[in-house]
Formats: sequence, structure tokens, C-alpha cells
Amino acid sequence: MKSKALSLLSDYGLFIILIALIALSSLLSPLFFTAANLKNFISQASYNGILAVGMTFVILIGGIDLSVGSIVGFASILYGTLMHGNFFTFMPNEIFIYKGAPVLTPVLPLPLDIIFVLLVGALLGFITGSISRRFRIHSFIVSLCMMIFIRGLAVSYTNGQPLFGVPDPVSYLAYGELFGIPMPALIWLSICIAAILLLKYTRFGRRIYAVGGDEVAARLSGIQPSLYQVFPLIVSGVLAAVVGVIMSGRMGCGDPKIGEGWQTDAIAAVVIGGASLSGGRGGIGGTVIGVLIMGLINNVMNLLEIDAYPQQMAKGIIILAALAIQGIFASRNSND
Amino acid sequence: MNRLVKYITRDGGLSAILRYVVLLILIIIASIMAPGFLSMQNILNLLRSFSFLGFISLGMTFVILSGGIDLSVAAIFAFSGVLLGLFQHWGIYLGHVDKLSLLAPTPILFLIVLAVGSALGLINGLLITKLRITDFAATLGSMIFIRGFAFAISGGRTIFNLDEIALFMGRGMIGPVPFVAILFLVSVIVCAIVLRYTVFGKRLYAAGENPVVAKLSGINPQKYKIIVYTISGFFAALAGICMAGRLNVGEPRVAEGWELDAIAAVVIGGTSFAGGRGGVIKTVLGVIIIGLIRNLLSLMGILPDPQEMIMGLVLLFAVVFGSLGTRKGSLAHT
Repeated sequence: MKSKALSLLSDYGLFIILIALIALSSLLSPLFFTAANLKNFISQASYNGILAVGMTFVILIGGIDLSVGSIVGFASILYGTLMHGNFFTFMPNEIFIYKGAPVLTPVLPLPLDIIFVLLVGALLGFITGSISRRFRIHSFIVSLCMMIFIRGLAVSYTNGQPLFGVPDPVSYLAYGELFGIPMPALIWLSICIAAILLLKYTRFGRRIYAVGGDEVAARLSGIQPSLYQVFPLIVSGVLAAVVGVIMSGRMGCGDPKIGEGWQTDAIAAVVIGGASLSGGRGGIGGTVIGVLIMGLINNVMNLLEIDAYPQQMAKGIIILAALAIQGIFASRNSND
Repeated sequence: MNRLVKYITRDGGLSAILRYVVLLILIIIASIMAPGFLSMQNILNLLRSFSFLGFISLGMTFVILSGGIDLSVAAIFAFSGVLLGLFQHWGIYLGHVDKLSLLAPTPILFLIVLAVGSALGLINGLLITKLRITDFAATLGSMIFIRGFAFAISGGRTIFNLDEIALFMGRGMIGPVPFVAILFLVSVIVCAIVLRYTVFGKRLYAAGENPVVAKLSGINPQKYKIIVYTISGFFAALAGICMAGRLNVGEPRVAEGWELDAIAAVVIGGTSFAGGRGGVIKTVLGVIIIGLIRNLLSLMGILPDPQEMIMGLVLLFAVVFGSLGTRKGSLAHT
């Protein structure tokens, strides 16, 4: 009886926590259940949500991608430079002096600019993944190096200056609404659906789980692991670039400094969502709930006007608590 | 070609020869670029500036030897400095900000700060062993928490002016030699002896190399995990105290990203991520190489941001080279 209650708690525990948090939030702040706040909450959560989808893929194979925050910044500034008619040239100084709305001279026709940025994101993910795979170094270490490298590249690219001016369609990605739902949330939703379809209903997706769960067993049953170990990092890189582009739209500029530390929020969301850091266990559904829980906690702390520093402490404790609960459950299961 | 790679990387990391060649090249470039580079005065100065990174790299060596990783060291570093500052300005809570008001005699404050740093390391160790959180995830969480804590207790402010004894830790000289460098060298010698000639050291290597076998031969790997994280916390706190003395401030923003430099120093030195192979003398070499690279980049007038980019590449190369020659690398989970 007791164990039944426990397993019920571990199956639906996240859901219960989410609902309890929503109830608590509406009690703590009368502002919570206003349309403006809910829209704000969901569009802020979407950015972390998109990153967390990519991170779920990576964590499923037992890896970790610390470079996503840097890729967000790099994608944003790369997009900015493309809009100002440059590919990879370092900018002359005059361009940073703000003289009203700038005239945009995109290098490529509009959707192609975005696709180019996404491809660069994919390339960065591919580099991390293939170094990790080829030299058998845990992706956490490789992506740590890439994190420093990409951030340095992004910031030195324009001397740390933001580049103002994004075209309307991109601002629409950040600020637009469809049926009253903010665009970022819709993008997040469609990415989630695509990811769920891929992971649950294709052979490719099931093989990612298989390789993540036990690489040796997977190889013995005829799966070539390299593809499945590099692909998740590519997904993660592309999705980070997506966030970078939408973020440029949100801020009206390409900014190399955004996204710092966002990787930890994404990791936290995935882990709260029940994915195991040793791979093979977890899913997009859990991650979405994890993102919502993280977002709720942020939102409520902001509504209650708690300072940034205690907020940071709280975030650290939440991450550790989620990991600890997971560790305790895992050890209980293994003792049975 | 394969044989060459095997030769260069035969001890599982960068071989000693390659590391000394890199060091020599760096020294030659530096002395060409800055004529006074090889003067006694400059060498002593460099010794001092390397010591701060050196302390946390020492602690990191223990952790990496055990097969773990500690991302929280820089946060503990900053936290310790802030704590020392607050202890010496206890009156901050009574309204007088600038005056020194010691909570206790300074040496006792040092002991308290060191104890707090060690306790934070101990907590890391307990999180990892008792709650079964992966090393890097646990220390990532505690890094965020401790840095936030350092900002919270100081209100994000810099605490200026420490007392004479604290300043001596960072700026003091014994004869021509900086005190902090002596402290660092003594720490290195103690650590090297502990690792090489004590039962503790030998068991630590065994537990890091293969926890399962160690456990079967009666060594409790978890106990060693807890101890190494405590050591790492201790050295981070020591570095924090010395840096506070050097800068004459308690500053919550100090040492951001230093955990990566420490990891790089340890790996470049030749300690393997897989655990159980390496040592502190190697790490000292790694610290000197990292310090020289940074020094050279500054000498060349390269701005901080491109410097970070280059350091990222250096770290990546070090990690890749370090993994050549080890069969399982560090893809294995700890």
C-alpha cells in the first residue's frame, strides 16, 4: 500500500508539485492570474523551454551541453552582423554609434539569414559532439571549452557592442501573438511536438534512448552509436541558435552578451523533469513540466520583489534539491 | 605517426617532454617580448601571481585524482574573501562602514574562514556521496548557490580595507620572496608528500583509478571523495583569503571563471580526468603554463574577451591531448 502511494507520487509527483505551485503563486500574489502576467510568464519560460528540449536530447545520451548559453549570444550577434551586410568581418567602429533606426542591408534574403544562423548553431553542436565522440571525452568537458571559446568569439566579434536593428518579421517572432498566445510559446510548443514525435514514434528516437541507456548493449544489438551520440548535440546547437534569433527580436538588437548562465536553467529544468544524468531516462513531457516549475518560481519571486541575489541562491538550492530527490529515488529503486 | 602519438602521450596525458617544450617556448617568447622577463624581480612577481590559481589547482588535483570535478572552487574563493571582509568590518551591521571592527583577532578569523570553506567542500562531498548526485552537477548547483550567497551577504558591494595581518597574506614579503609564494610552495610540498608517501595518498590513487576494485580491496571510495572535496574547499578558502589581502578588498565578483583555469592547469599538467593518474608537481607545471599564456596574451595587448576565446581553445587542446592514449578517456561516468 505504502509503496503504491510512493510510486504514484513518483509518477505524478511533478504534476502535483506544479499544481501546488500554481495554487501557491495565486495565493501569494494577486497579480499572478492576470492575463498580462500569464502571457509574460509563458513567453519568458519559452526561451528556457526551447533550450531545455535540446538539453533533453543531450542528457538522454548521458551527455551535457554547457555551451548553449554562449551559442545563444553568438547566434544573436551573428544575426545582427548579417543584418548589417556582413558575414564574418569584424565591424568598423562607426557602426556602433546609434543614429536612429539603422538601415538594414541583409546579406541574404530574410529567411535564409535565419537558416544560416541555425546552420552555424548546428555546426557548433556538431563540433562539440564529434570531439566528444571521437576522443571519448565527456561532452560536459568539451562543451565547457566550447562555452568559453564561443562566448569569447561572440564578444570579440563586435568588441562586446550590441548591433541595433532587426527586421519586423523577427520582432514578430518575439512579440507577436496568435489566438492570444505569444509567438515564443507557439514556437516552443511546435518544437516540443516535433521532439516528442521523433523520440517516441520513430526508430531513430528509440535508438537514442537505447544508446543513452547502455551504449555497449546498443552496439551489440547492431546500433552504431556515433550518430546517436552526435545528433543530440546538433539539436541542442540548432535550438540554442533559434533562441538567439528570437532573443534578438525581443531586444531589437543582436547582443553577444545574452544567454550567460542559461545552460544551468535548461539543465535544471530537464533534471527537475525527471531525466537521469546518466542517460536513457527522461522525456520531453517531464522537461516541459520542469521548465514550467522553474519559470513559476522565477515569476513568483519577481512578483514578490525578491532581490536578484537571494533568487540566485534559491535557484542553486532548487537544482540541488531536484538532483537529491532523484538520487534518493534512484538508490531506493536499486536497493529493491 | 601513430607511434609518435603513442610516444608523446604514453603516460596517458601530455608527456613530460611535451609539457617542458611548451613551457620553454613560452618562456622564450616572453623574454623576447618583454626584456625584463627573466629578471629575479619579475620571476618573484610571477610566482606570487601564479600562487592564487595554484592553491585552487592543488585542491582541484585531489578532486580530479579521485575521478571527480569541482566547479564550486571559484565561488568558495570569492565567498571566503567576502566573509573575511565582513568579519573585519563587523560594524557594517551597526552603521559605521569604513572603520575596521574585528569580530575576533585576525588569525582566528582566518581559521573560521578556512573552516567555512572546508565545510562547504564537505557539503559538496556529502551531496555527491550520500545523495548520489553526479560530481559536476552537485558542484554546479553549489557554485550557483555559494556565489549568490557571497553577493547576498555583501549586498553586492565591495568591502574595502582589511587589517595589516590580512594584507600580509597577499602582499607580505619574507626577504625578497612574496609570502604567498612561500605558502604555496609549502602547500605543494606537503601535498606531494601526502600523495606519494602516505597510506592515504596511495589509497586515494587506488580509489580514483578504479572505485570498484578499491572497494573490493577494502577501501571505501566514498570516504575519499568526501575528503578530497573538503581539501578542495580548504584550498579555495585559503586562496580567497590571500587574494582578499592582495587586493585589500572583500569582493563577491572576484575569480569568476577561475574554476576553468584550475581545471585547465590540472589537465595540462598531465593529471587524467579518468582519475587515479597524475599529481601535484605536474599541476604546478600546468599552473605555470596557464599563467604564462595569460601573461603573454596581456603582454601582446590582447583584450580580455579575445583572451577568453584563446583560453577556450587552449583548454580544448589540453583536454583532447590529455585524453589521447587513455583507452576509456573520461566518457565513463563516475
